[in-house]
Amino acid sequence: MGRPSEAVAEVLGQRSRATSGVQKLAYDAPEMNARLRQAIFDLGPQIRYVACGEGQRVETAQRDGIADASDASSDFFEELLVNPTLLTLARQRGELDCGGLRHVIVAYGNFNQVVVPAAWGHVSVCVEREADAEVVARQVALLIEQTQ
Amino acid sequence: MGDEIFALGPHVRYVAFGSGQDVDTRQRADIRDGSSSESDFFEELLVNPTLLALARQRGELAGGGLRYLIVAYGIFNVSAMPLNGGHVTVGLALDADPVATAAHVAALVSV
Repeated sequence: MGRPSEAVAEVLGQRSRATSGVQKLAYDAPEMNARLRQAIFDLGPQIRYVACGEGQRVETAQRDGIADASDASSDFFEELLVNPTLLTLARQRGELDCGGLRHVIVAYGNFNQVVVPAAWGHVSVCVEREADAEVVARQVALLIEQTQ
Repeated sequence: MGDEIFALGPHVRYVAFGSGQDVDTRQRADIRDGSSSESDFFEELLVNPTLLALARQRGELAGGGLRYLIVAYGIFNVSAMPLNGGHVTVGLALDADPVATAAHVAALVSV
């Protein structure tokens, strides 16, 4: 079995384009957490991408014109499989004797990914490599708290 | 290598190296709210290799590879990164800058 194929892309479903320079890739309706997503993009141009995941539902939105972006199908599977697994394992370890889990930052080669647990699932934010991902993680956690 | 990482400053609480089934952990003596040595061992044997393997797979698919991970726990932060087929983990004080420290550790281990 290889990488995601056209058949997989078909399963992923519809894509739509939103206004204000952000391309929204909606894999499941209805729209999730629009206010939270916009608030995160409003943190500044260092925010490249925002995704919300809840069970089997994933919604991603990406700023237009960013360099070295990963492709939409791999983003979808990252939010469906990778990030929930990172959070589950880290949460289990954190709740054992580390005071719980606040967030995870993954420093990839081209960008940093901030993953923050929410009561309903998770929020994943891709930030520019030069930006301070720890600051973004704290800001996103606060925004999640304010919008819940 | 462990001594060099501890020498980054008092914000470095803990250093561990993992390779296959081998785990070596060291913790600064005056840490009061550390996790247990038993759970640390299993973190290095099971948790951090899994986190790194998953992130590496994703990073090599379409993210430019993996540099490091930071896990922000409630009472400290942990930075983990691949090293020579295994990994190194650094436990950091909660008020330390985990991004800057991870970059320092990455520079040390890449030499």
